[in-house]
Amino acid sequence: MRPGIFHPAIQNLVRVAGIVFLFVAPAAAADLPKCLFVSSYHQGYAWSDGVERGLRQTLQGKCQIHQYDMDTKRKKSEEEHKAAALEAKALIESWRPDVVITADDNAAKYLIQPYYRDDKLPFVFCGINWTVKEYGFPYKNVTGMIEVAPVKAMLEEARGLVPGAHKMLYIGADTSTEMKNAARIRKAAEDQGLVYEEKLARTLDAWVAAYQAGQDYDFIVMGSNAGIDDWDTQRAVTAIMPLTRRLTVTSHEWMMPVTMLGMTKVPEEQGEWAGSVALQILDGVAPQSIPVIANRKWDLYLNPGLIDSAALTLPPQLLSKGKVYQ
Amino acid sequence: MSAIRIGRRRVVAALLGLLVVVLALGIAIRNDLQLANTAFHELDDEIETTLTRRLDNLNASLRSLSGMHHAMTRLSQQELSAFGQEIGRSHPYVRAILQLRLVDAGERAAYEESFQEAGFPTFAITANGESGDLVPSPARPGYMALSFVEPLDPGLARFLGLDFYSRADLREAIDQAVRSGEISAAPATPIGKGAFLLLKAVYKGFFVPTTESERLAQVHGVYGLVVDVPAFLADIGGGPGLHLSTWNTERPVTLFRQPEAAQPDWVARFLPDQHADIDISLDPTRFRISIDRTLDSRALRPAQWMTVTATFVGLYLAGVLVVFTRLRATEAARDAKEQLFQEKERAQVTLQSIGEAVITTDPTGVVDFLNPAAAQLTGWGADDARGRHLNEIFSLVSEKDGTGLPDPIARALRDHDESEAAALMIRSDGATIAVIENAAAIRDSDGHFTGAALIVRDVSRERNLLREMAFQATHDPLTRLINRRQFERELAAVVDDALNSDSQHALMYIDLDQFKAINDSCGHMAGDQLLKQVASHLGENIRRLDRLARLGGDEFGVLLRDCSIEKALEVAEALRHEIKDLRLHWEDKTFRISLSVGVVAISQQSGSLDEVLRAADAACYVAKDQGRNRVHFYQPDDQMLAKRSSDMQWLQRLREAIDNDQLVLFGQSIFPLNADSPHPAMCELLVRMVDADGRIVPPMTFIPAAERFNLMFDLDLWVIGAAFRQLATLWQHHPQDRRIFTINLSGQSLDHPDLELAIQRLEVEHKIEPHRICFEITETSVIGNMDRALALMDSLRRRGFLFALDDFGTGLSSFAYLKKLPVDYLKIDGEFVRDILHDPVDKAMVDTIRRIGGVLGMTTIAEAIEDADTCALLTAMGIDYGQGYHLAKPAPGEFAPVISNVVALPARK
Repeated sequence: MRPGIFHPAIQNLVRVAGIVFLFVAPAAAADLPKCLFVSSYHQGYAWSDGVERGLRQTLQGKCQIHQYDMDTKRKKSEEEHKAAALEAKALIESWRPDVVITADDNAAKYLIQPYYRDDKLPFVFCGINWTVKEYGFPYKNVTGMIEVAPVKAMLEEARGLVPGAHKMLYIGADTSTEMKNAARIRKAAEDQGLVYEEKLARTLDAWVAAYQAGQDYDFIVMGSNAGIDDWDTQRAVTAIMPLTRRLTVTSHEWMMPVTMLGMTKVPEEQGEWAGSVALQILDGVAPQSIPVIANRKWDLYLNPGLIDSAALTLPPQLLSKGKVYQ
Repeated sequence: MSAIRIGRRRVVAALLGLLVVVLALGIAIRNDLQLANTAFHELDDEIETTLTRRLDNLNASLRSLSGMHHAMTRLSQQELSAFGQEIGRSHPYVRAILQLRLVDAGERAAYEESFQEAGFPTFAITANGESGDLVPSPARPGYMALSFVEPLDPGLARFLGLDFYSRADLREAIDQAVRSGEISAAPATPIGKGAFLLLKAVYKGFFVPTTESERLAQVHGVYGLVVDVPAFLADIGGGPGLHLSTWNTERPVTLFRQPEAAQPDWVARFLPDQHADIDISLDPTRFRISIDRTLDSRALRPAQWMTVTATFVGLYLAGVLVVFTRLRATEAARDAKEQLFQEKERAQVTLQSIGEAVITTDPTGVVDFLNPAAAQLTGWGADDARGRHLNEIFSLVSEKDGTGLPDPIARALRDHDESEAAALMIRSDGATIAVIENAAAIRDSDGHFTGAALIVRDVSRERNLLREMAFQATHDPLTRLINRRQFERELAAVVDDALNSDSQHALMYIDLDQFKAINDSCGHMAGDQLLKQVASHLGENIRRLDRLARLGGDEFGVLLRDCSIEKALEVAEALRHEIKDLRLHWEDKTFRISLSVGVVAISQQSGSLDEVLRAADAACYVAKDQGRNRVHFYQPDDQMLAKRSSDMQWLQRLREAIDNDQLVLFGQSIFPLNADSPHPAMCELLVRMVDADGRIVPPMTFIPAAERFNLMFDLDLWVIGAAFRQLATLWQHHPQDRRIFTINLSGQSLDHPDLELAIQRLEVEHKIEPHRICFEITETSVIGNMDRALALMDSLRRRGFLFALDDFGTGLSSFAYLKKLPVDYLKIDGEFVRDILHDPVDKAMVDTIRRIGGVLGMTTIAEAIEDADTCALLTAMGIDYGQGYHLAKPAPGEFAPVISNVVALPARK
């Protein structure tokens, strides 16, 4: 999976078409409540696509869904993030949704927190990494699902596969999200007595260099590549294949092409929960009566090619349990 | 009675039919209720089976969960979630899987913080507040907090952290689960309505502690299954009210109560309730499912009722039909028996009363029945004949030849069961009876021959009558001789035989002389008596081979087979003599009879039957014409027959003369004998024929032919017409001529119905003075038809015409009729006048006639006065008129000269 595969012009065109859709929506759908989905990122970003898929499956036929992508993964400046939030706010005011569902942190940070704290308009968030403390949640009108990774289980699994492991490297994009993830990994690693180090890259080469450096650690935790502008999965794979000697683990499914073992989060779980909560709210349940919870689903993937190239021997139980990444 | 019986039956049948309908409805309803009960019990069983299985499933799932917990060192929420999802997919009635964690008071903060760090920022141990809301749990020694729930939906997520110990009912069930190590049950409140909880405690370590105290000490938490009761009870039958309760202790705890579905229809009020308790045990917990249901109209199946009712009614109707059919059959059999009895009675009465003899036999011909007619016909009593063979009773022979006829029974079989034959029955006593017997085979229903019926009809009377009719057809009933038809038939055979062989036969044609006079004067009875006597005598004097027949009237015929003409003439003479001597005595009169016989030979030369008959007739005529009482033998060159032939020629000429006025009138004057007589002269008009040569033909030449061939009326009519015409002229030219003119009327004319009118017409036409016309009639002609003659005479006399009785004295008992006959003149027959001078009898007769005439007021006329002495004597005797050649001969010419010539009496010689 490669995030950001669409040209910005096309994405703008899609947004405009979405706005036009608001005014020409079929009269048949007018009876359904309005659900606005504000994604922090963009369509084509694997995580966001998964969230959207889960959300749409839950809400399909039960409310009018309109989506607004803030595209903050590719718009890196603060101003652009705020501008996107304002656009979303303008959309909210014009379309007047009954409930707004947001995905990932930037929507919470740039839209909910500044404009809709304890507002009458209910918000359901999802995909906020690890904690909502920084946004002051929960508000009266806000509830949702926090995105957590099975970090503890993943580290335990890595330690089990690499007997005597005591030093690990975390590699990810040089983004705030990855920094937040890295912090969680760090804590978990330190809780388990591991020596933790991290390398956050802005380019593929930097990422490959970090990967090469990781071969000196007992195992590598692969963070998200979201934020590496020149990311090319095939190039990355090609680059790392001769380098790989150490176990690599990740909680991101889209990183499996360059990772041996994945204990990956399920983005659909976020969307499904947000959808279910939105429907409860539309049924009259107060948002504050629905607790903020964390996701708890993850899945197990294996990349046999990388495992073979590294000449690693994994336990049969794990080999038979893990899904083979295609 | 039968109608009343049937009417009662119908009423009973209708009542029974109504009862059957009610019974059928009752059975149908009862059946529906039984079916409903059966269905309910089946439902019970099904519910018990289903719920037991489902509880077993829940039990197994909960134990699996518990076992997994004990087996694994660490059980992540990820793994627990996967396991829970699988349970949820396998058992849809499992609404949620719960994990309760026993948290000591001292662990509470860390416990809550760990959740908050894991992404549940608001997580806290809570309890149900008084209003039911979740509130932070007050401090307790320990908490049984909800740590995991699958599925994690927004509705259940809010209960994360709920201390289940905060609720007494749950605490009791949890304690039961912890203490027992088994499954306990509790209401799912407040997790959700319509659900109950199954709880299973888990303990530290890998195994469940074996003692309660150890279990209490090592308890780790509790796993629970939230069972959705509607889903749990789904698909086990609709509508019942369900009450699910459990006994974790001695006290039952209601887990769920599902009210019975409302019954919208009023029918339910009349239907019984259904109730069942199902006990299911999950040791030590017992479950009871109480099922209540009120039947509603859906339990009733009117269509089924109709089917059942229709079936019962159909069976009933079929039964009724069978019963009625049998009754009908019985009645029909009884009626048939009665009818058969009546038929038998009727048949017996009929057989007893009919005239035909009826005899029945068995197949071998042994008699088993005779009706009275048969007994009378055969002469056998019914009892005597029974058991005897038919041949002993009588036998049958042919009527024609007396040969025996075949056995009638065998004939009936041979002739396809029925045959009829005419026969002569010969009785056992030898008597014979003409019969017609009809034999018919008797067969049973299978067509087997079981006997025969013989119907014998006595046709003796018919046969006799037939014979009589045949006799009458061929015989004369008076004389019992064969009649003309039969005679001619036999004669034809003889003539045919003669034509085809050398045989010689003869035929006599006999005519009784004077028979008509006797018949007319003495009556038909006298004539019949005469005919019978003549026939008897004739029959006695012919040969045995000869055939005597009455040919009609006074004519007889005798066919003499194989007889020469000589012999025939001999027989004829014998007959003539025999009859000549015969005297007929009738009342006080005695008649003599004679025969005129014509004889003809029958040979090859005698010609056909008609020619033979004509010859015989002609011969007879000749005999009669020659003076009667004689036999004339016909010969082809016979002179007499020539005359007879001449008569035939005269017949033709007379016919032409009448038609062509070739007749003339002659007048012969009749003079009063007394010069002082006041009577006018008279003149008798006489007819003469003028032949082709202008010669006058005397009357005796053609009158016989006219009489024989019935031309007398035409001749008399011509005479009357001619006389009236000429007299009219005479009287016109000589009014002084006061003579009375006499005209002869024959017997045929007197008997003719048109004579009177014809005279009247001519009288009127010629303006005749009737009192100057006197019709002369003969005694014989009047006697032939006295009544008609008298009527005619009366009628004409009333018109003024006069009548004279001609030839008086030569007839029969003439004086007897004089009193009856209204005549004015008596003309004394010339037989008495010619010899009056020499025969005193004739003189006495004339004198007697004169005196009688005088007494009766009649004027006498003496005919045939041929000399003066006679005329003088008659004048002296007082005879009024005289006529004869002495006085005047008939003379032709006009009346006037004649009349003028005879007006005065010629001088007596």
